[in-house]
Amino acid sequence: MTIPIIEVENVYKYYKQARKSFSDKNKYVKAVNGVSFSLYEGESFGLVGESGSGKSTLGQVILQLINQTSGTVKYRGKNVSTYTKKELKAWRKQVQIVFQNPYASLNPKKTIGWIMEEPLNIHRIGNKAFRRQRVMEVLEEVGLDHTFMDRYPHELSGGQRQRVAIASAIILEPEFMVIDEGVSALDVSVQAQILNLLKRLQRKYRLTYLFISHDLNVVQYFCDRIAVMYLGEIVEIGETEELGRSLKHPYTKALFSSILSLDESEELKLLDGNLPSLLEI
Amino acid sequence: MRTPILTVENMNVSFELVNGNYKALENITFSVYPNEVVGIVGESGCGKSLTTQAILGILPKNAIVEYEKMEYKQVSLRELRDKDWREIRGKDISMIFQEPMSALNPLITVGKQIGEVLKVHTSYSKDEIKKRTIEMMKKVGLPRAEELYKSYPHQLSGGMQQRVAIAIALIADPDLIIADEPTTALDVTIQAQILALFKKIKNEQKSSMIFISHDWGVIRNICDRVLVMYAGHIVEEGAVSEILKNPKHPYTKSLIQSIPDHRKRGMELFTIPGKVPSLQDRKIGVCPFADRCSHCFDACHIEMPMTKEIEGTHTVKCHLYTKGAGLTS
Amino acid sequence: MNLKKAKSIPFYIGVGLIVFLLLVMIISIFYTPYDPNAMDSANRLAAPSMEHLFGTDNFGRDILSRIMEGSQTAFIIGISSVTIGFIFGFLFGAIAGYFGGWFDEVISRFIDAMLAFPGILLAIMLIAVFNTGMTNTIIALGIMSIPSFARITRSSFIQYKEYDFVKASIAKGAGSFRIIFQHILPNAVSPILVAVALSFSGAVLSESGLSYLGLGVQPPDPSWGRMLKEAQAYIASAPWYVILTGLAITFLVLGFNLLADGLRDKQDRKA
Ligand SMILES: Nc1ncnc2c1ncn2[C@@H]1O[C@H](COP(=O)(O)OP(=O)(O)OP(=O)(O)O)[C@@H](O)[C@H]1O
Ligand SMILES: Nc1ncnc2c1ncn2[C@@H]1O[C@H](COP(=O)(O)OP(=O)(O)OP(=O)(O)O)[C@@H](O)[C@H]1O
Ligand code: SF4
Ligand SMILES: [Mg+2]
Ligand SMILES: [Mg+2]
Repeated sequence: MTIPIIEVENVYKYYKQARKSFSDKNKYVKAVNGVSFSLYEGESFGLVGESGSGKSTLGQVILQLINQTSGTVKYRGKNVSTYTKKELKAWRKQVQIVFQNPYASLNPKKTIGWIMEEPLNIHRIGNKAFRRQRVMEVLEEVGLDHTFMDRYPHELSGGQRQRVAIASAIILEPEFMVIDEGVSALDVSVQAQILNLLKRLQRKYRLTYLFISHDLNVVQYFCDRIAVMYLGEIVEIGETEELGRSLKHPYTKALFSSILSLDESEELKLLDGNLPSLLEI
Repeated sequence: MRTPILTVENMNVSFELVNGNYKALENITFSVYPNEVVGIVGESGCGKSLTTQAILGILPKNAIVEYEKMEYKQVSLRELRDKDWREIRGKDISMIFQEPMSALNPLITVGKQIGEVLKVHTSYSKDEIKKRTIEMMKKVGLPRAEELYKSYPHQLSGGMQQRVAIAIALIADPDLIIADEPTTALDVTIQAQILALFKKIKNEQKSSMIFISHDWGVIRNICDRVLVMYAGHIVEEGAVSEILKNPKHPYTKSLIQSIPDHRKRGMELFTIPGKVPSLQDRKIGVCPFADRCSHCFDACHIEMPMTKEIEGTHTVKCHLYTKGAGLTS
Repeated sequence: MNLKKAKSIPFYIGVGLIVFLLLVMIISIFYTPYDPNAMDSANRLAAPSMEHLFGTDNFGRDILSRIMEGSQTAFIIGISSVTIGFIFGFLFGAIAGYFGGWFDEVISRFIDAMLAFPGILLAIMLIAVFNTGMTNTIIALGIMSIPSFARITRSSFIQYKEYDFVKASIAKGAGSFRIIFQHILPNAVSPILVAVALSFSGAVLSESGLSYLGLGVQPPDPSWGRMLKEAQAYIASAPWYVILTGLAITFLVLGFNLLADGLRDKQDRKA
């Protein structure tokens, strides 16, 4: 067996919760509650699960943008929290993230051109002309063009912002990417275009994806393996085909049966059923 | 004939950019009837959000609007003053923004932000407002409502932020709800719950809705009618079931064809070749889809197709149905 | 639209006042109607007239010329002390807000302690240590405005470091320097500008107060505060002396306060 590119071992992340009154005891939100899994080079790993189940937190812990409460994350066998400053910077070039919220992840005071060029500037790649060229190339790849270079994020549509976020992540040609709801704001056609692009990059650079999404259609299409998160834990994990066939956890069942179908014949079972019970655990 | 709650006729929006003015919306005409949910679909950058921003009078500063008519309950919206708008927004018409964080103030707790709407529009007491806020938070499926009441937006997950935005929009029982991709950040189970809530509001309060989504499953589930937009134009319009079963415009057909699903795993997904032209590259007075259309013929590059009625409310803007032989496949 | 315009009127009045006084200050460098220090014992406490538009003081000096020259002191003190306060306040606030930890604890306590004092009292204490005079007044007022800058900077930094665009840049390998100056600063500019305007007016006011108490700028440097003190003795016989000097101070302080309000409004409207 090949060594995994990412190993997550027993990761916990607790957030302290605002106390209702002074006498209250400290309460914690167990955003990630003891999670372990490994990712192998070149695979697309889907992470699905209820809203608030800790997917984004986990993704950001893996990239050390949030410090875990306990547990370790290893990259190619090495514990990432032992990296020196220099190693960390080099690592940051290899791993990228597309944030869930493109509106918040683009600096409102900077132009798209500046934002796109930033990673190249940070890692001192190429000269000015090369960088501009590269920015245009990548913009074209995500279906935008040079006319966006001088615009500010608020002058773009939601989907255009999301594509800028993706473009600025792939511009460094990383080995590993966390894509947090990276295509959810995109209409089907552009979504397809981006998914195709991601697949193409994967084939070319043996990219590994941690693909966080709540859109099961997309996840099932895109991912080789899927993990289902529920209340901070991974409750089910498996090959995509397998998972679809043999669902064990009740949440997973609910999840898979509530995919909205286009088939008139398939009526929407879930809308009448009562879901909230799941939330109030 | 029913009277519409909202009428938009021949609305144009253009942007002043450094090198000239460019049209982002052209001849937008549609109505929303009482107790009706109208969907808007179309590729990214087609002008869906702009359409709703124009209605609410919250376009970016560099935008210029022209229109023949834009009326909400027989009141011309563009002539309203700031003060009138404040009365209307939130209470008569409310908006759920595409990106929830853009509508939330990072420095105010979410409970306060939801309650603020009631504070502005009603004379409820503080306790009453808090009670209703928490009720609303529960209705949109926010867990631990009492605790979340005191949280700041950045302490919430993406989907929770979105539900806060939904709660803000729904709490004052508006007559017209404009929802821009309100369920994109939600997983299917919660999406189902939110859609059920929308439906309930529609049935019980007889509200109307404009519902932007790129998810045809959601559109089919909640909308009565749908507008298909392309590059600033409405190119097809009709009952949802009709459009899904019997799409006429080549663009609508391609959109429906590119829906991903697990049966297509491992295959390249179908995409419409090319991309939505950026504002600067749009041609005026021809079919906007001509460069990407596989059925394009000479007429398409010469003039803009007229609106053609297919049957009932189903209309399409494509030369195939006025000049050509129609599209059979 | 109309409402926005109406709201901007005070802002423009503020800008107008500041620009006007700035012009007066610049002119006074090259020209004043009389030598501000030339005494004319025959012409003491003369009422405003064509020769002396603002009248003369108890030594027969031309009040207009003295107010004009005093504006230089006001601006020098305002600009220098704000600069000192801004540089140190920004640095402390940025480091505390961005890195957090024990440094933040120390700075925050320090800010709280300093803010608990009435500013002018703090300045008086500092003057007691440093002694009076122009430079020392600047230093004292500069130190006095550090905590407010530090606090505003700190809270902006705490707010923005949670933003995804900051995290996004960290994720791409950006160092602290880039994050602070390229990402957070441009976004925190408007609250900081408000603080600049406010602490400018605060400095002008405090300088007048200190000089009024005889603790600030010493002769021969001109000062509005000291003029006010001198004028006070003649409030009955030469009321214009007090009124006109007081108006000069008020206009400058008001100008910056209106500017600050306007900036804050603009900021709120954007949010
Ligand atoms: N900074 C924070 N402070 C306190 N609680 C937080 C913070 N960030 C996240 N949480 C909580 O942690 C939990 C998990 O959040 P996370 O963003 O990881 O969810 P998610 O699975 O990504 O959900 P979604 O699909 O809605 O994006 C939520 O309950 C959230 O409220
Ligand atoms: N302030 C602005 N200045 C210039 N162009 C703008 C501005 N705001 C929006 N646009 C452009 O107008 C077009 C329509 O934008 P809109 O936000 O309506 O798209 P949308 O259909 O909602 O797309 P999405 O699904 O991606 O949100 C886009 O091409 C966008 O780049
Ligand atoms: S008018 Fe022509 S180009 Fe446009 S959609 Fe119809 S066939 Fe295609
Ligand atoms: Mg998330
Ligand atoms: Mg949009």
